[in-house]
Amino acid sequence: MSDDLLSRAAGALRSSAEPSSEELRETRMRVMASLRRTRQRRVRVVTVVLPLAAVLATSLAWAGATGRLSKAVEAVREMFVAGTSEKQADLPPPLPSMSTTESPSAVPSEAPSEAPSAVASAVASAVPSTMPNAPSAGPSILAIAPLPKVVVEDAAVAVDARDADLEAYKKAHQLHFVAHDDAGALQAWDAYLAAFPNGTFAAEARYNRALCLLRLGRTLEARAALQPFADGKVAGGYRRQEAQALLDTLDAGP
Amino acid sequence: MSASDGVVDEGLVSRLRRGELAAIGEAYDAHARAVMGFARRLVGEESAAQDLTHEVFLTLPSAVRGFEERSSLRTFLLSIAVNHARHHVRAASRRRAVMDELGHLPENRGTTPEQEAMRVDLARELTRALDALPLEQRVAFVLCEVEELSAREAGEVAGCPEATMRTRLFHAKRKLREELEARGVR
Repeated sequence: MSDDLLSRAAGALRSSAEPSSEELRETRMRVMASLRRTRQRRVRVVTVVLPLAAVLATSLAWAGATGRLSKAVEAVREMFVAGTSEKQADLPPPLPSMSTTESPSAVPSEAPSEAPSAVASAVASAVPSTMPNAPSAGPSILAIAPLPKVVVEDAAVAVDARDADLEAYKKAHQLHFVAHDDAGALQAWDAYLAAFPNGTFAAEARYNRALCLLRLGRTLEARAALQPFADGKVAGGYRRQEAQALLDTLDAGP
Repeated sequence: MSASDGVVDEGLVSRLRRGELAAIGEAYDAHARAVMGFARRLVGEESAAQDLTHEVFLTLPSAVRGFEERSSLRTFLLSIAVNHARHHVRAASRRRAVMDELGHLPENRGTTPEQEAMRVDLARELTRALDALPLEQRVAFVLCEVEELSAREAGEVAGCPEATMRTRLFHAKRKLREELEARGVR
C-alpha cells in the first residue's frame, strides 16, 4: 500500500463530492425558513409571554404588599384540595391490578357505589389474557392502566410490516446482486414498490429497478426511471451523480 | 480550497452579530459551497451533508458572537461544521454499514466509462475506510488531504494545535492504509 493510492483516493473523494447549485439553493431556503421561524417564536415570547409574566409578577408584588397574598394562596389551596377530592369522587373505580379476574369488590370504599364500572371493565377486557398480573398490592388510585389491546396490536402490525419490508427487499436484492437475474429482479423490485411505495428502501428499490431496465435494454423506461434521481428529487439527492452519469452514457449512445 | 479564502468581511461579521437575516443569506451565498463540499467529504453522504450545512448556518447567528476574527469566516464556518459533525458522521456510517451488510455492491461498473467508475469506487472505498477512524482523525485527514489545508489551517478549523493536527493525520493515514488494504483496494 503506497501513499500514492491514498492520495489518489483523497483526490477521487475531492472531485466526487461537489454540491450542485440546486442542492445549495434548497438548503438556503431551508436555512432562511428556519431562521424566520425562530425569529417569529422569539417575537412571540417578547410580545406575549414577557408582558404576561410582568403582569403576574406585579400582581404578586401588589398582593404581597397589601397582605392579600396569604389569603389568595389559601383560596387557591382550598380550590385545589376541593378540586382533587371532586376528581377522586368522579373517577371510575381504579384498576386494582392488570388481572381480569379481580373481583369488583376491590373498588375503594370512598368511591360512589354507582361509579361507572363499565369503563374499568372495558379497559380491563382490552388486556391480553397473557399479560402478567400486576403485584397484588391492593387497589390504588395510581394503578397504571394497561395498554389497550388496539395499541399493542398496532405496534405488532408495525413490526410485522417492517420485517415484511426488509424481507421483500432482501428477496429482490438476492435476485439482482447474487443471482444476476435481471428480469426476475425487475419483477421483485416492482413487487417491493407495489407493496411498500414508501418503504424503508423505496429509493434504493427504485434505483435498482432502473438498473434492471437498463440491463434489459428497456432504455426509454430506464431513462424515465433515472431522471428523478439525476434531478436530485429522490431522497435528497440519492444516487444523483450516478444516475446523471448513466443518463450521459445513454445520451452518448453505444 | 484554502481556509484563507473569503477573508473576513468586517461589515458582514458585524451585521451577522446583529442577527440580520440578509447577512446570513450573504454569508451563505459566499461560503455554502465550501461548507457543503467539506460536509459531504467528511460525512460521505449528500443528504446528511445538506443537514449539516443547514445546522451550520442556523447556528451562525449565535456562534458568531464568539468569533474573534483571527481566522477567516470560512474557517470559522468549517469549525462549526466540525463541531456539529459527530452525530451526522455516526448516522451516515451506520447506514453504510447496513448497506454493506446487505451486500450493496457498486452499481455502475460497465455502464459508465471505466475511469469514472474507478474514481467513484475509490472515493466510496475511502469513505468506508474513513468510517473506521475516530472523528478527530477523520477530520484531520479530510481537512489536510482532501480539502488540502495546511496543518496550521486545519488546526484552526478543528481547534487544536498544528502539531496535534500532524499527529492525528499521521495516525489517520496509517489506519486508512490498513483499512484500504483489508478491503482489497490496490
